[in-house]
Amino acid sequence: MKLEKLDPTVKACTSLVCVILLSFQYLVSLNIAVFVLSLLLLLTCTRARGIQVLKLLLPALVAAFGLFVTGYFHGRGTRAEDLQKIAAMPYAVRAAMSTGLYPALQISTRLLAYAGFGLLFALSTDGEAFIFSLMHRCRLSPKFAYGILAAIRLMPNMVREFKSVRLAFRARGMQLRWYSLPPVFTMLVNSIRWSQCVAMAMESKGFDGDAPRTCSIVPKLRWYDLAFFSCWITGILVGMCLLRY
Amino acid sequence: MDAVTIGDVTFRYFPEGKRNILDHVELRIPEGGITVLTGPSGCGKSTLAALMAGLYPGNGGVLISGDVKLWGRSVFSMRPQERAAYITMLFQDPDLQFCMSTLRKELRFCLENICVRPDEIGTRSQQAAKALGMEALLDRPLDTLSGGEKQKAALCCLLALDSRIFLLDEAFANIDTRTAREIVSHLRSAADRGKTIIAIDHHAELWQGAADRVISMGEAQVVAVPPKRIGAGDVPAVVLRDVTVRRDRVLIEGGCAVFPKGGMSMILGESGSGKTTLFRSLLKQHPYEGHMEVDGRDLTAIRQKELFCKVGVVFQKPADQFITQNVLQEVQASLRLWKRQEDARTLLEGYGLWQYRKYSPYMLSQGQQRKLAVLSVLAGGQEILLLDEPTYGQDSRSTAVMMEQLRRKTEAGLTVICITHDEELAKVWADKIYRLEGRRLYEA
Amino acid sequence: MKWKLKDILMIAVCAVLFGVIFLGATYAGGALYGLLLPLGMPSLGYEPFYGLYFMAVAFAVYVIRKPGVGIVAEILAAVIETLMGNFFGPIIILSGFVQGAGFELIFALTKYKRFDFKTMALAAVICSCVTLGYNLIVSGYDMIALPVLALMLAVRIVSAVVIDAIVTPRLADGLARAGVLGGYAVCEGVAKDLDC
Repeated sequence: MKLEKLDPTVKACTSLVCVILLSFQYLVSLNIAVFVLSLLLLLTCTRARGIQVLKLLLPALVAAFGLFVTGYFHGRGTRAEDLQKIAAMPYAVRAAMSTGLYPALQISTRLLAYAGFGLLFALSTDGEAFIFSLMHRCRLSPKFAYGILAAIRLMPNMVREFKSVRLAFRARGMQLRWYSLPPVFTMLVNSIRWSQCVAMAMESKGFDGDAPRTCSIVPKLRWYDLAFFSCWITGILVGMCLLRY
Repeated sequence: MDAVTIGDVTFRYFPEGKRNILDHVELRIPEGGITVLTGPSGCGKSTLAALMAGLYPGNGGVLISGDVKLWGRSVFSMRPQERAAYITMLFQDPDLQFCMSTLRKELRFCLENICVRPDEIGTRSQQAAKALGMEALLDRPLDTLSGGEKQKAALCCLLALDSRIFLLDEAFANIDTRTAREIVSHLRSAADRGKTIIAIDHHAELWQGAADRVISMGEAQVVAVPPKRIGAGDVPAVVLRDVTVRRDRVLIEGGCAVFPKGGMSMILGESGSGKTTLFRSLLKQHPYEGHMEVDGRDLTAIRQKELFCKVGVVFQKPADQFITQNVLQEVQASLRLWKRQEDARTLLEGYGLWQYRKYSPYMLSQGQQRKLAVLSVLAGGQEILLLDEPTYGQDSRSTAVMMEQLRRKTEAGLTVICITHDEELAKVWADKIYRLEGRRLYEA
Repeated sequence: MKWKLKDILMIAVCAVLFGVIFLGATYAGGALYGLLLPLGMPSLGYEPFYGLYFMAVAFAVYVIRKPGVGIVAEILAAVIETLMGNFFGPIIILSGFVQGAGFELIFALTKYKRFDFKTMALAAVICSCVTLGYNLIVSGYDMIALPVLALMLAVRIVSAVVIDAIVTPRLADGLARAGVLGGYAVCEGVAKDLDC
């Protein structure tokens, strides 16, 4: 069973609901469990390769480490509800709480848990499939759906063009910094031009956006979509009830 | 009955502007056959095409008077879906016509638009692809196709949509001649099956033998054929020795060339052969192996800023290199950046651009944009000019005017190196022609 | 408002561009992160670029000037960012909604009549506060000490005001003058020199 087969909208909803649930808790163990489980699922049940995972994971780790350091040195201290539970905690945890290690872990592992969901979604979902699924499940209008797909297709052009615009500017004798605005302006002109051209091309191919059109691919909901959704939600709810720190 | 009837059409882009791009235009195009519309760039051909296809004024501009009728029905009263049964269009830029990632998906998108039953979509896509021999490319990412293949893919969509008119707007501007001829022959057979083909093209010669009628808009084309210069270039301005350039694969292997000072040299090659990459190497923007020399000095020994001071470049899309928002400022900025003491007015007048001095460069026609780009680059006093595909989006008359101006500059010592896929351009203007073909760079 | 295909594509393509710029800027911001590490607040290193997040909504609102544009534009940008492979995945669609709503609030209150610097700046400030509120709840920023949070908010506000109330309107005005935004509300009031 590969996660690529799951309905993208269900996957997106799962991660949205889980994230909202996770934002109401401060359990380091649950965060880590979610993160580890996501990575495990990613490596065993998707076609994502390790190196891909690492590439996307890296910025998440950097951000989490940043939050950890910030939380450690500039944390708000122990929360009131945590103080009530403090008696039941082992010595190691109590020691950690007094130094700010625990709040630092709370905030940084939460980000990791989110990143786990994000990666699980990003690396097991095809962009087009996601948009089509949104069109059927969430009534995303075809105008928006195909507009988004067309715009995404221009991204490689944009990166290439941005480089050549910057070269052209420097060849004209302009000193450019990375934040220089004139190339951005030129790129905006290009982008708007491109969007007009693509819009006309799509319209010329009979795309209306409001008129009815046929759909040759209708994604179906299957039992495992709902199973995936309910397993995650139940898992997190159970974790929130049973886990202590 | 006429397929297209254009009656008294007046159109402008800016409601508050004074210039009408089309002024009381009348035109009839009969049903069937291939009709080619020619005319100088800036005469409103492309605007007319967008109007015929019903894309304007919905997507821009103001229709002040008149109507466009397809078989007697006003195109402006039809919804896009209805219009697709009458007229579909092949555009100039191969990169800006698709919204999906592969041809198969794009065909599905097209057929869904006109409400083809889902179970017929597969066969109809297959048929369209087969007609153009594109079956092998159906599932290849469109990004990886060459410009010519992309245009064929776009034509595939038109075939699948099966409208009564196929309208082409400068569809061959940036693809190699071979693919262009192939597309023309496919269109000829479509015309023989009863389709009406309308092509807006300033390269009328591509259609010779295939077109049933040619209508020219605006003034007649004049191509000045200048005398060849003899004796130019005893001193080399740019020398390539044993140069190898790669990008993903080897583009040029062991290329040797000498570009004489005060000469106009051209490198001919199809798109994707590595011409532009060679320019980037020459500007120290792309790695190369071997030896390159500018003005007798090894390229590696010249600092970047010094190089830009010597070598100017005008890219395929001149709009990419405007650094200000006004024609006059554009030239002034160059003079200021390179600390030159010339008068911007004289320069602009020399290129016939003074009257547009208050315009934004982006509002000029392609031909004027390129002239302005050349002018503002040369205002910096560069002695070597790299020119990338000067015919792109431009008719032969304005190309000729620009080349003539450059020719005069070469007599004063300017070196021009131009890359193009246009054989005609090279034949007429070059002192020296190199060809880039199958990784080899050789003198023709 | 009634969205036409060309409006959607215009905003979507610009959102892709802003996304590309944002990616580039965060690389440049890596240095800042490192610099702030010894001070114990590397997370502050992300804040100066926060204004770039709101660029799509600021641009859309300023150019089109109609109700709902901001929220739709920012959700559009968020979906695009999800597809571009953001490690946060679909959550950013939620944060996109919050950002869009935060930015558009002030325009809704002033009935979409004023788009001068003051209103844009106010929108940027409100949006910064709203998004920090979102961070407090969702990202667990409530674990961070108040002074640091205040510093973060201050940097975020400055960034948002500079990028979204100064730079973005200037770019949009330039585009209007250059004649590429024909038909949009931003063109009204922008003088165009068409006659020579």
